[in-house]
Amino acid sequence: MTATTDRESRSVDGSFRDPAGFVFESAGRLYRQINRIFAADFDAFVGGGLYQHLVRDQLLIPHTERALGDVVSPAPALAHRIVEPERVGFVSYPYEWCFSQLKDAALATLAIQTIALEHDFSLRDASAFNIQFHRGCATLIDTLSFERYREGEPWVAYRQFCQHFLAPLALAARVDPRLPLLSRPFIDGVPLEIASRALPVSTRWSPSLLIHIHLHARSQRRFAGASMVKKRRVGRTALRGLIDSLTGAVKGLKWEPAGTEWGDYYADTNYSDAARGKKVEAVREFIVRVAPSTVWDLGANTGEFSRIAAERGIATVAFDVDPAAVEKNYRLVRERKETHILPLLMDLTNPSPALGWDHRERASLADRAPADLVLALALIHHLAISNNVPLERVARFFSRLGRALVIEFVPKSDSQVQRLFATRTDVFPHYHRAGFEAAFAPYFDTVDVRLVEGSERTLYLLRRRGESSA
Amino acid sequence: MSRFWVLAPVAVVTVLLIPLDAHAYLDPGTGSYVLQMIIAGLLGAAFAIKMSWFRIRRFITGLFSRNDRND
Repeated sequence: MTATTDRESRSVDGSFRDPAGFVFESAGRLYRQINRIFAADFDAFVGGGLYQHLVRDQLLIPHTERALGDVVSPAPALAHRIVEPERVGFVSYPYEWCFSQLKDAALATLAIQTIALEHDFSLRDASAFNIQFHRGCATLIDTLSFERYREGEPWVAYRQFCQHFLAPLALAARVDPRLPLLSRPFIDGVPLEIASRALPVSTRWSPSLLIHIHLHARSQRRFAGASMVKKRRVGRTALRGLIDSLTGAVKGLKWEPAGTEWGDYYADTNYSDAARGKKVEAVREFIVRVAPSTVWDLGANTGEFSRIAAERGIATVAFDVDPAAVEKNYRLVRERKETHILPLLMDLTNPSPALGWDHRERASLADRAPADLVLALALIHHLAISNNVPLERVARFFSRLGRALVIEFVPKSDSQVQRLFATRTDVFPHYHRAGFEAAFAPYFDTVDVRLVEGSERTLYLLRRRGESSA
Repeated sequence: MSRFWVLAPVAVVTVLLIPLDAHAYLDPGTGSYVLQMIIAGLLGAAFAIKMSWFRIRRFITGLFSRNDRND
């Protein structure tokens, strides 16, 4: 997923399945090749107005066509066209999305299929991995997902839609908001049989869930061994009815975050209003000093500090482990139509791994690093004490994630840390400022240190060793 | 909801009547294809009814709003 800096070109590892084309990088830029085999469908897609319609509605990533001779393709013999899509700031995956992000991605997919049918096209896949959050909107990034509609054909992507979207959304809404994480081990979506078994019996009284999950799972089981079945026509009205029914099913699934794990954090910390203001001021000053293009806010809660960066036009990713915090943050993004902040679900003690074929289809969190600046505010005690990670290892991990780091040291005397010791013994003799500084020194140079007035906490601005000064 | 329960028995009967014979090969999404073929009539009918209902409603509201303007 990282850009190549040399003149070589190579295909991007997540896009090898489709014979219609592939994504590749050349000289640090991202391109999509459309193979000759798919020429007719693609030309009709662009020439017939569907591409323009979807781009206008912000449902599809726009691209610029490049002359075949201008770009070095890894497979030039197959090339029909080469396009350069607008680049997505941060590639995220469905298992990193909150409930409403997954729901918006599902509704975007169905809206795209509805528009496609109006133009006599149909989506030939409905993978959640084809959706990215681009400028705050759920956007399809796979321009090759469209084939000409053949009258009477069923929707080829129906199974994939139910597995990638409907099943995890139903599980989140009706069982537990963490269950969409199942799309991490099950890379082609949550098996409907598992969803059907895990969902409460009451979901069988919802006609759409009964059909698209429970009967669907049963039908899959019933025909698992069948290699031959009689094909029957699925008319256009029936297909529109299917999309309408799926849309109703998705819209009907709701989840309300009932307070966040850290919901009362700001109301219940060692910070007075004045100290809080000082912290905001110091973080802002550090951000200005580093002048980053990308910021990762680790343990962002609902994104208060992320917004200091995002409001300056910096592409900011706000990670948090709590689905409710990420959900609230995303709702704010939607409400305020923010384009520079991407809230994501991430457990830093077990971050997203590399997944899929050859470990290369989906990038790990570290594969997507480094950010120009990492914020780690009110976080260190959760990693070092709650999760027993030695400070030196925290420093090493953070040095892989960012070129610069703003980190807050929270001492043992802080009530938030005292709370962690309520049920356990203190086995952390090195957890103090001097120990913290010694642990980070091999990986980072200290640029600035601020005691946050009115609290016992310290803010550090650190620069990764070997990085040139900002 | 009520529309569903009226049409559901029709769907169930259709399921039972679907013959399994050798005509065309389908991939491992077979169960999903078959389900679509089974529910096609039901969902198509529901969608057609919904659309005509929208059209009737739009016609009636249009009628009244025109009357309002005339008043």
